[in-house]
Amino acid sequence: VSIRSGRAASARPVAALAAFPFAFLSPHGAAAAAAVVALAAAVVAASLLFRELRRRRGAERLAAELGRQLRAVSGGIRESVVAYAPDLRVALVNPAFEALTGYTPAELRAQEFLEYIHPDDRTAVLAELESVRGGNTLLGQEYRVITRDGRIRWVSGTWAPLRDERGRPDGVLSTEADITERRRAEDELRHEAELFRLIIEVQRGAAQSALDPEAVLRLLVERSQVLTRAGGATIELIQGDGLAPRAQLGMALPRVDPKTSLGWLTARTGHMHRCDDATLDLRVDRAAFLAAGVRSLLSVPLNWTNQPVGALTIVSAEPQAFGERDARAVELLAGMAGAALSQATAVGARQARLEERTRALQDSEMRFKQLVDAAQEGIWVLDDRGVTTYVNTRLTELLGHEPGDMLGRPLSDFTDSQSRAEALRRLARDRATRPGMGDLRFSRKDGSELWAIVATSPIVGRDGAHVGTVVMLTDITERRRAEDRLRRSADRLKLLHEIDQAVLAARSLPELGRAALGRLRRLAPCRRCTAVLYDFERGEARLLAGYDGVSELSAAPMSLSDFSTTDQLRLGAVRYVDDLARLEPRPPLLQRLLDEGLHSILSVPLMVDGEVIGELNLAATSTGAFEPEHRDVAQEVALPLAIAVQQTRLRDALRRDTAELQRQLARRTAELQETSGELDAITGAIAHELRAPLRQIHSFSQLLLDEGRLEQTAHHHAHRVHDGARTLGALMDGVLQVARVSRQALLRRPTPLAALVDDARRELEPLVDGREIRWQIGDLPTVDGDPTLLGLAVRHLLDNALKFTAPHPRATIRIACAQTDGQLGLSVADDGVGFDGAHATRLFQPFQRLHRGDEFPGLGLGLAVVRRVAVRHGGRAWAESEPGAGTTIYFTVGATSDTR
Amino acid sequence: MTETDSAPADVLLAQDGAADVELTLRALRQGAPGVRVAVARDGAEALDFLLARGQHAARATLPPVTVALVDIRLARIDGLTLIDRLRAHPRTARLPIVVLTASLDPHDRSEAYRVGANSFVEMPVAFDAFVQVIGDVARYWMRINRT
Repeated sequence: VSIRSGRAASARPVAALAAFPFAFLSPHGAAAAAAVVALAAAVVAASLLFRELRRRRGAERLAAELGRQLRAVSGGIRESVVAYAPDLRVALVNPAFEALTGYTPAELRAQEFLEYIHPDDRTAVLAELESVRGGNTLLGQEYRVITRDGRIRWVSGTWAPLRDERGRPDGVLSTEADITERRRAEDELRHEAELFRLIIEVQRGAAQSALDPEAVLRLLVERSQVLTRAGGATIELIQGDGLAPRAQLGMALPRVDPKTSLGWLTARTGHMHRCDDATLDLRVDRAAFLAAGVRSLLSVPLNWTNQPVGALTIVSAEPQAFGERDARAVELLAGMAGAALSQATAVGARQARLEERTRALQDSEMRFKQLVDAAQEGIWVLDDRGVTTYVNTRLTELLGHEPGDMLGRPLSDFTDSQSRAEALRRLARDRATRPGMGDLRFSRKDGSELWAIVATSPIVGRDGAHVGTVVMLTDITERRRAEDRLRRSADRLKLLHEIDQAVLAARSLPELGRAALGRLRRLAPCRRCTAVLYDFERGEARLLAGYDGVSELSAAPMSLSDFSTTDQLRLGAVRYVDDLARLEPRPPLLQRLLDEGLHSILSVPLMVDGEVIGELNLAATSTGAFEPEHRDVAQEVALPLAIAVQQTRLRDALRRDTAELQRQLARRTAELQETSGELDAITGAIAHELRAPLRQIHSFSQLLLDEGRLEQTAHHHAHRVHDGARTLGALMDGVLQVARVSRQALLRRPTPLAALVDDARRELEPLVDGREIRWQIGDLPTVDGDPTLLGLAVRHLLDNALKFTAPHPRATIRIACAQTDGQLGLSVADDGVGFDGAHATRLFQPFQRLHRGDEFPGLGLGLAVVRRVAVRHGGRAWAESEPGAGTTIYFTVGATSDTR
Repeated sequence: MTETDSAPADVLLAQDGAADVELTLRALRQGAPGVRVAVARDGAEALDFLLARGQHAARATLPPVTVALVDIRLARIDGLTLIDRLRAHPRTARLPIVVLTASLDPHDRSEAYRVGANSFVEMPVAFDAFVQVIGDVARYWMRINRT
């Protein structure tokens, strides 16, 4: 370096060299350049020295000195130095040359001139040589040197002329710096730049075919092949438990077991795999590789979101075809593939989502449109200023406006003037912020009103800003009208109810009238109202009740003729005069009303059963004060009032009649009780007082007969007396029984008829008298009745059956449950002599007998008792019979639950 | 069987009407032979007899009757009143009293028991039935009292 400062003027080219922008080169390259500069400086210094020596010494010494000096200089530097004599013989070689090329100076001398330079580059150096010999310097010529062992080294050569003392060219000096490493770095860079260019290209292509992953993959295999000069490139993606080729170019992959392929290994492990020579690599199926012509193989994984999804594999027919550079290139491309696949998939998914959303949006819009148009609600869309931007068909129907009339106008243009202020206030408040609801009255185009429930809801844009309002109108005009009607109707019903209540509570006709009028005045505008009752017979009308403003009217009788003609009044028509002053002629009463300043009058008749009994009058000071509704109300009041009046009258009459009836009833009851008492006495007398003498007659006649001392005729007479007494006793018992059955208080309790039948059968056993009686007893109910009386009846029934079957040695008596018309009891059927059904009713009257006493003994009281028992229990007894076909007697005890 | 005041008696029959008395006596004779019967013809006499006073004061020394048969229809003092009075008196408070009646009035029966009768007999119309009933009654009370 110290040489460099020797002669500044001569060092100028070197400075120019130093100024060359090496910066783009790698640091390695920059160091090489610095070495060249240093060498150049040494060469210049050597040539100056050479000249000086020549001038001062002899040629021999000079040459030796030069050689020594040059050797000394050149031996110290790393660059190879070769000095050529003017005849281009090798004059000097420094050790660095041998280090660079491997040739000894002797070997170099034995070679042809520039034989060590790569033939492709030699020409270029030779071409410059004459120029150098002419005195020019060739700086930084880069060329390849073939070393003694056949390797290629890149060098940067500087060829400078050697001059003699006089400055004439005298030989050539070459210095060569090894720039192989720099060249390689440059190559790397170039390659890398190319790689990036390619990748950018691939990316651009991938972007262009973003929706088609296959296109991206095709691009990738193509670039992989180009970039690595591979024989073929293939992309395989994991599918299930193996790899499926997706894109392929050039040589195909060896056909090997997919599970053992290097691609699968790569895809599964996520690490690169390389085979440099299939013939030497134990991992691979050599035969398959040879069959495919593949010697080298490089496989890199395809990753997608850090997961291996496949492999990119390049193959070559050459061994060791792929270096690190290729590996790096395909790795980069493989990364691209993952990204492209991912992007393509993502884009595809996004596209699909977009399409779906678009479709959904279209559907939704369609549905919205259908909904909106089919809606029963009027739908009104306002923009953020409250101006109509949309109305549906229903709304135009509701309001009677064409859509064109409404668009661009605010909602308040269509509301009723009274509602407007309120509507505006509410809308202004609500529409931008929150849903609102309320009733609003709109004006239809034809001027009629439209009541609607208005529901507003803000439309909020994507950014949250208020962009408009949806207003929904539900027509409630009918509902409002119905509500109004209902309310009035309810008022009227309430009034009527109150009138009914008042009518019920009223104890007199005037009170009744006041109750009705007091409530009527609340519903009809009148200053004066009266209720008047007619008395057609007297030609008079009497005030039932009346109000004149605040005071009550007097109740003095009025002449009916003051009202109207009798015939007219009897018609019962509603009379309505909207202006008395214009009525001609005016009846006296109306004249009086007019004089009192009343102009409108409404009269409705009080009618009962088509008869007019009076009228209800309403009068007001204004003309035309009464409307049809008031007429209806008045009539509604008139109806119950008339009925109430009539009822009150009837009630009064009834009260009078009832009082009379009660007096009569009391009298009759007293009479009856007296009679009953006498009957009791008589019955008692028969039953008890007469028994004592009867006993005597009976007993003494028996004693007469028993003692047997009477002669025949006397005995016969005594016998008759005795029989008579016995019959009389039986009769008395019977009568007593009938009386008791009739008078005795009923002690009702659940009584099983079956038990009574059993008792009676036991009791009557003697009457069977050796005959064969077949008893057929059905399922008998339990009835609610007096067990004593029921037992008596059952005994008589069975007694009857036994008695009338007596002529037959064998008889059947059927006893069954009888149920008819909700009455419960039993029937007793015998197959005895029977009787003519025509006499069936006589059978149940006391002392009525259908057979002679000597045929069938009896008093004719049994069935009378049966009937009495039935009647006392609210039931009845009847018989069905035919002579010779037996008799069935039915016995029921009235409506009673079967408590069997 | 005696109707004299001095003779001892097992039974007092208080009954109105000669015919009825005759029938009852006959029935007792047939139904309960050997029973000594005294007869009072109205309620007042029956009371004197049983309480041994008035015309029957002499009976105070005699043993009381075993049972009294009282017809419910008696003159002067009716049968129910008679029983009531007898029950009120220490001498006859526990005397067995059997009511006889020709009536079938249930009212009579309940009244008789209410005033303190021990038994109630409806006299049947038929004589032989009466013999049976009256004999049973007399024998029953005689036996009860003897044991």
